[in-house]
Amino acid sequence: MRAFDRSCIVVTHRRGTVEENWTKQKSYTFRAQLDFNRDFGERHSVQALIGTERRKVESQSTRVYKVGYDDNTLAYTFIDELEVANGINGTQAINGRYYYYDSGTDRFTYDDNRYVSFYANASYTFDRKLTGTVSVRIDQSNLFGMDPKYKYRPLWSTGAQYVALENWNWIDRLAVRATYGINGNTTTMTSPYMIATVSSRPNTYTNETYAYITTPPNPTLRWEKTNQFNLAVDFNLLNHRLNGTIEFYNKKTTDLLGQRQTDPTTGWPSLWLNYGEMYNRGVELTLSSRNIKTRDFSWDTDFIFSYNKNKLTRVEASGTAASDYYYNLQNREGRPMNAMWVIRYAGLDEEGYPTAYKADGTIVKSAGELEAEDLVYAGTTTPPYSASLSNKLSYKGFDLSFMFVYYGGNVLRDVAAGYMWDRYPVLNYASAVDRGRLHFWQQPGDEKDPDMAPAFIYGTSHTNSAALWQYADKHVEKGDYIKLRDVTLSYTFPKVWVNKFYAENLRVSLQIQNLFYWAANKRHLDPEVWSGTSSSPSRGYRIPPTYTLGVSLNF
Amino acid sequence: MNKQTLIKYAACIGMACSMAACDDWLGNQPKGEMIPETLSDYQMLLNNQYLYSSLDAYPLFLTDDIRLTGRGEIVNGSSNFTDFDYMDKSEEMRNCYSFASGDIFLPGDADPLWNDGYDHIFTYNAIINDVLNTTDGTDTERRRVWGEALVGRAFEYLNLVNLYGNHYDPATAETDYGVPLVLSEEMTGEQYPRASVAQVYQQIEEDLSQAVPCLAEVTNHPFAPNQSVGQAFLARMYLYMGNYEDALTNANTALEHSSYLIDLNEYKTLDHGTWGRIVRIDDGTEYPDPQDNEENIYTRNFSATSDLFAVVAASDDLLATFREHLAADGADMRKELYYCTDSCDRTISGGRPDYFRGYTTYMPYVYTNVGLNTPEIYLIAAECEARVGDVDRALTLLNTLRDKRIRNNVHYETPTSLSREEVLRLVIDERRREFAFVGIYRLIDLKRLNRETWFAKTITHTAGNDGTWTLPANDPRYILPVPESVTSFNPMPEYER
Repeated sequence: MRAFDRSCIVVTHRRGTVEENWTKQKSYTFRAQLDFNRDFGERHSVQALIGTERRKVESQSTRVYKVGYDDNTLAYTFIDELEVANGINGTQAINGRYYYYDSGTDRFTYDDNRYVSFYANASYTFDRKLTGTVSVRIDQSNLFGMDPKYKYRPLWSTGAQYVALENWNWIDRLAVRATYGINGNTTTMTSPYMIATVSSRPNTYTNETYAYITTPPNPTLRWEKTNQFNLAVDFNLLNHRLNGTIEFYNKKTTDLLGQRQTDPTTGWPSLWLNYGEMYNRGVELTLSSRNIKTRDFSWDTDFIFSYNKNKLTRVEASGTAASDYYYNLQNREGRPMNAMWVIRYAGLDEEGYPTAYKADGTIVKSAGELEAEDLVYAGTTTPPYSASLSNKLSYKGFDLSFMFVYYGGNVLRDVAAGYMWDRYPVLNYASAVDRGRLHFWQQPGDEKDPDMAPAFIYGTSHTNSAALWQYADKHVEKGDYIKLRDVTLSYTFPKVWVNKFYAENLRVSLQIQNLFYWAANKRHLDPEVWSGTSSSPSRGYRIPPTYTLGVSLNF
Repeated sequence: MNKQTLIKYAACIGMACSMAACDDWLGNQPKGEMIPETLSDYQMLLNNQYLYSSLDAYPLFLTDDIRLTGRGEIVNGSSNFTDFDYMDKSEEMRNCYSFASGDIFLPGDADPLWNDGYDHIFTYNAIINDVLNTTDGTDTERRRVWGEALVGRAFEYLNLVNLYGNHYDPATAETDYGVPLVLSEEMTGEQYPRASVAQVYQQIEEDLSQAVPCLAEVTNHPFAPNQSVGQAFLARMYLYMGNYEDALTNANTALEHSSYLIDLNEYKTLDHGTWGRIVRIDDGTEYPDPQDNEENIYTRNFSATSDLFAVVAASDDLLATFREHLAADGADMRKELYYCTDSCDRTISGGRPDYFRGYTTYMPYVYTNVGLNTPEIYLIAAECEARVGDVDRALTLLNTLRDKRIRNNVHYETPTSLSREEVLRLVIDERRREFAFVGIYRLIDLKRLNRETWFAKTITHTAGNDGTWTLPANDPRYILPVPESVTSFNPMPEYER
């Protein structure tokens, strides 16, 4: 036996630990712009501007962590960091083994982002009717690992506007606009070069600095380019009582950038790649009308409607197994983005386990027997239609305004799909369970109910049939909804009366937000909190109506 | 010119200047990130401690060492002990244990053996292909880094080809499916075809023969290979290929470098606790960590230890093997230290133990090494001597090993009257005792020894009332299927399973 043991580690927490974080952030912006406006004669007018901007944002942080710290004496103790980083046994930590970096170690970070932009804009108007515009913009930044030709992000566009009619009968103004432009985009998530990150914490076995590769080289990385064409008609009618715009657009994106699943044999199960092309086409309609205007009463309406059609025209490198289609939202050729594929559900079998149809009508009991062509495309989860309608009424001092919003045309997954029966039948779970999942098979005969959830699968050999219920087509619901987003009722006291109290203005208002909603799905779930795109959706927490009472008094 | 024009021109010039100086200003090097270019960059990539872990626990569920229980099989009074239950295990473990045909993983799940293996191979490829072009540092240093990466990559490929391919058989190796050989870090988007088993072994042999002369004599930790790793690795590889002469020569050379064995008789277990429960009897120091364990020639930590410790039971077959050739007062220290029978107390300060009367579970709570260590070299040498060399030397080697593993060991007598086959049987049983629940040693042994008629055995797995399954010798289900997450992007021929 020895008198002492140098390998014994005593970490005194009788005092305490201290962790200090310092963050410093500096940002600089320099901008210069030159404007030019000149009328030449009666009919020609030119406006131009050119500018440049330079920006730098630098942030730096330091963390210091010490143990055995006493705030009165400001003293701390040494510990053998390497020894403790390798783990101490026999402690109260989980599994009995404590690792130093579980609680925190010293750390340094540094980020320096720099941006340079140039922009120029010119427009020429002839006879106050016909206008042509051109604009160019170049943005550069210090993205690391970028091939220099990718450091620039150009945008240019050109347009023309023609005022067709002015003050003609009931048309106050009618103008037609067209623009065309190109935009480019790239990402920091990948690079033509291989990028490695150096770990600030050393290797805990050998105390050496180590690095790991974060992105493999992608030599075929290209710009994501979007060509956009807009055509719009602006109109003001009926003595400016009905104003609005109808706009059509067509955006074509090539070399779409995104994260894709890949063959893990390359060393990377997913990668950022240029993987395809898509278009977004649509129409936007904006209307605003002054319906009634009398001395005491007025009523205005604003209406916005938009529809977007999105389709991927070309997609490379996607997984072809059935599970690749239904496991996640998909971006596939010939379909919109964020599309959902589902399995054709064939009901429960006599033991209560789910079954599905294949394309030829045969029934299978295991997800492993499905092929991609047995699945059904259900729709996109991104709503293509959106609209908002807001009305404002005033009578004497009272104002009432309310706004409805609508989103729709998409599909979402019902909460019954979630895995309830993928647990032990002993329901001793300390978490809230959606009531919709409690309707599960318990005895023979239950399978005749089409809405019955399967028997408990966990702990049986049927786990490969879980997907047949979870991704079944019976759970697809429409995602349309209308919400009364905002109602505001206010009263502005008459000035005459208010002035008596030496005040300028007094107004009280009541604002109610999210008062109610209507949803197309059968359970009346609120798509704004319902996680209907997930494979185990939850209905989310209800957004309660918010009532705000306000008083505004000006002196 | 007037003041206004002057200001206008000054502004224009200012803007023009700011445009000009861009490229330098935007070309700054970020801190903490780099594009690997210098020798020290590649050394840092090699220092990545995540390269030090290998393999996963689930292939173990195919072997005859493991036993799981059925629902409600172990009842302690009013509660059930369910830690060994078959139904509680993950999908891939259950599919292995029940010898299921077809895929092991659920569709959409990733296979950690394949993914981690090729992830490590990617890093090694990046180093192997570029480090010789760096300009800083000495040529010896450069070649050393290159050699270490080659050994790392060869190690990964040896594991992969033994898991996913048929065992090396000189008659069929040219046509048996192996694993894709990825030798470049370029992302060309090509689909890597499945190379044959012979091609993969050829690549491993080539990599090792190029690497060994470049390695350092001594390294400061066993995670980085030194020269003696070369011989030990070749010994293992030749053993798997069935080339016993070359395996023996390499094993003997490796033993000359290092033949240290830890004497397990000097250790005991504490009454309670998990990590750190194996300690020296004299001064209470813990069983050495992987970087300090002097038995280790090349250390690769076995990943997913939590999937094995105290959650599976040892099969009766294995326990019977442990009881062989012991004196009346002898005990196999490997069983005493690494296993718990009937009950174990895993609490830190001595609380309530878990009871599982009649079962023994594996719970050493030390990091096991699936790389190369001296006990394996002893056993390789012993097996080769038993097959093609001096049978007496085989027994001497066994005796040396057993002296450090068995309390009150009784030597095998030399010169011996036992036949080669009987001595071989002793060696194989010793291999089983030494490496039960460690990596894929037993799985590979089963695959290669099932071809020999004296060994060929059928494995039976039971899980109480939840099922009984058998696996005959040389069944194709010994070969793991290529995961669906790979074949959905890269269709490749597969074994009928």
